[in-house]
Amino acid sequence: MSYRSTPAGFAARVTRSAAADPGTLALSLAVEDVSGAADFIASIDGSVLAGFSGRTVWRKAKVEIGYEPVLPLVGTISIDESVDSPITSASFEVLSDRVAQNDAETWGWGDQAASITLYAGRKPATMAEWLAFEGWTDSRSNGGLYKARGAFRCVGLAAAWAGTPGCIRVGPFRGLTRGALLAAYATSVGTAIANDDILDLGAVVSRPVEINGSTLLEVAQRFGEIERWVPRVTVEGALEIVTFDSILTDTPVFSFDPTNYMTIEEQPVESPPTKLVLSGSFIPDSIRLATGGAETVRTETPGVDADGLPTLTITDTTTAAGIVTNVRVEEKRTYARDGTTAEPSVLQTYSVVEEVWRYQYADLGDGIERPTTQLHQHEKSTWMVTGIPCSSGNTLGNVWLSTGRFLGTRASLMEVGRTATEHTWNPASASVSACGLAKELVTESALYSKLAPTSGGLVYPDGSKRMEDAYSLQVIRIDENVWHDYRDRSTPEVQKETWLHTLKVDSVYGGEYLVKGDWRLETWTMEAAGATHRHRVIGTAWIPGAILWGGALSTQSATPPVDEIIDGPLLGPPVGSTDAALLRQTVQVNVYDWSALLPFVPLTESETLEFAETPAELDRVAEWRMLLARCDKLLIRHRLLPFLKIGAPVLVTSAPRSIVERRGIVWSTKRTATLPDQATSQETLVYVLPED
Amino acid sequence: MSGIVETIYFGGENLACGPDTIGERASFAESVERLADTSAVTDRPAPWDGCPDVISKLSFSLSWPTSKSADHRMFARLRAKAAPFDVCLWKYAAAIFSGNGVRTEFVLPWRLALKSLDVGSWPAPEEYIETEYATEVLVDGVTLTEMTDYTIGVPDEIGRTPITFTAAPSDGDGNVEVYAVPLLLMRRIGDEAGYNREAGMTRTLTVEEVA
Repeated sequence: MSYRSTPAGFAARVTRSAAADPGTLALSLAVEDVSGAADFIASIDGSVLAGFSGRTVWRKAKVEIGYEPVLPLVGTISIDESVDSPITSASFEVLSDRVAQNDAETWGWGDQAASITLYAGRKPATMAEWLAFEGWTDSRSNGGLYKARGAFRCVGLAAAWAGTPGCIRVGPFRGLTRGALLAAYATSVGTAIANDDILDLGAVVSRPVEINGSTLLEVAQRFGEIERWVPRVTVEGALEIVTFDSILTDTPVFSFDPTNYMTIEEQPVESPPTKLVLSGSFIPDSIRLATGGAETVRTETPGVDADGLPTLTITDTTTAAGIVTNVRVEEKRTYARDGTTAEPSVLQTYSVVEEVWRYQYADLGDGIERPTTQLHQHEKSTWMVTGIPCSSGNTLGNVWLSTGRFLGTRASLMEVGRTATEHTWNPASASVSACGLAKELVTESALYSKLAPTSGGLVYPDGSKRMEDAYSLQVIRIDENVWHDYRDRSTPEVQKETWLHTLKVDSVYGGEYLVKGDWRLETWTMEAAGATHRHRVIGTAWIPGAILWGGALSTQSATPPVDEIIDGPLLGPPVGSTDAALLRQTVQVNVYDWSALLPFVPLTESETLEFAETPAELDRVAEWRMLLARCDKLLIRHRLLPFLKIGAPVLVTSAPRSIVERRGIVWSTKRTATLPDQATSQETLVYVLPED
Repeated sequence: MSGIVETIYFGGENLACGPDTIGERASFAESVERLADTSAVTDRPAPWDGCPDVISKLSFSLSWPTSKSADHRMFARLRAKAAPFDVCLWKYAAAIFSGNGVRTEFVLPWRLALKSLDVGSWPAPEEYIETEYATEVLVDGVTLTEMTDYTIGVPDEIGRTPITFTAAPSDGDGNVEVYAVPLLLMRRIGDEAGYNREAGMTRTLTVEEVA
């Protein structure tokens, strides 16, 4: 064996030597700088490697509880680690009267600091020392009539935070990587991540992240399946992330072959799912990857109408920072415009519908102004190729071929309808409902002329009597909702008023007027914060009167309010927030069928992945699960190798199983030292990757 | 003198009549396993600092077809005695150590009979013993001189005896050799007696090394 050490420690690669000298090792140990394959190998002192890897090795084990040597040890010392449960555990037995659990002077009293140090060397005089375990005593038992034999099970230092639930809440587009999120989560449970580059590990997350109550390991494993991380715990009790992708490419840290293992056996196979249905919610790339600039995309859809004549629909969609702010749909048909004289039938504009959304914008952390959930205005306008109807007495009127009477001689594109919605938001404050909607005003306009009282008005060709001698774009309905937020007062309640102004025939004058009516006051009383909410409609009344335009004020006559009580969920004004981007998330379900690759009984498994950022990450998870399902699980018993940690890439050769230098992953390790001969060995479960 | 010394030291006294046969068996503290390629790997314990390369425990089976009545009290006492007792067969044992160029103290797994037993317990006249049963210490094949090159310390409570060298033995495999007559701490694990009209009492004792 040859090795060299560097000042910063080193990474080791052990391979089978071509020709071992008689009496020397069959292994050769090539040592590289940490900058090489250091992802997988904890820095370890060279003399430790030399001590543990010999053909004849002198060994010693030291167990301490409460920083005091535990003697005499009997039976077997065992130290276990696994990818599935990376918290290190250890067990040992001691023959002593100091194992009682009710005596403060004994090792069995409460949970005490525990450590296991293994020594090894190629001669007793020179022993290398390796701290194999550090933690606390956990469960303990003892038996024996005359001499007590105490059995101790210990957990690693990570037990201090392993069961602690953490919490993290991060808004969208914060520009944080999964590594940074994991580091923040680690902070919330009171620990830290061992990787120096943790803040740069993993993809940048755009979706909002809110995790409560999970342990750090659970979060690391859930992130890890997407990022292909293996979370493991250092002896010092810190969480360490190993990236699995490098397992496929990095230099293996050890090569298992018959010259260095004692036994090898394939583990029982459980039928894996042959079909995986994975789903997730995603922010479309147009938003996720947006740069903030406005962009208009035009699509043209040609077609034919019922008569076989060509049509064309042109859609212009404008997005800003990925959010749709304007959609204009122009419909063209093949027809002849109406008018006083005939025109040829050609493909021309027939109608235009345009919608505009105006949002509150906010920078959510990545320097890009994105619309928030606060929608200030929404307008929808409709244009048609038509004319302005006029009364029979209007001197500017013309009779068109379609028998109508219109201003002008030819139909042209004009606005015939518009619906405008305006929102007024409460400013965010501690006392008032944060960013709650204070008022919603919906105004509907149309090309129209109000009907006149029977006693007057202008006569139209269709026989109707109207108040103006030509149609115009005018308001025909106003719907106003006002929320009164009393939550800054002693009585926690919200009231909603609804005022509907609509065109109605006035009972006194007979004409059509915009009147205030359908008065309604609703109160939400929160009887207990966050618990029961009572929705109480105080009154529903029709109040003719309050003529707003074109008439005198009539007397109001309200009908008595009608009580209506509805218990139900919290009602209140819609809430917007300048904190949250307007996230239009889509749900995608991907089905992965591996039946052809996996010769097992068909089995379908479904899961929604909470933290996948893109559909491509679903693919990544599926590929990874399939890879693991196809791995050959080999349990290899060999001499103890301190540097062989979980997540390390190795090579395996086992001729009876037709496995020759195949790449694998160390999935779990079980290190044992048998007393009193100090025979030390290790059982390593290796996931051998499929050949393809 | 390769056979049985009549006056072997057993159970705290010199036997009046030595056993007819003594069977000796060494058990080694080591664990040998074979790798898949059939080659062996060996784990040896290093239970104390400065321990020898190989640690073994001896067990003896001593058989008396006839015994002297002077020894009967000793037989009876060993049968009732709880604590281990001293045994010296006046046979050489070796302890081999590997120096590392630094370590100066090596610890024998037993006491030295010549230093531990008083004159009355020696099997032969003093001048004879000085040459026949003297401790010999060699480093790299060269015999060293006691007091000048090394000193033998006081054994601990279970009989482990330190040897301190003036200069640290060099780095080598098995290059420190100690030949000496050990005084072993043993316990009785078997005791059979027989009585017949002609020969009196027959006795078979089985003992094993404790410390």
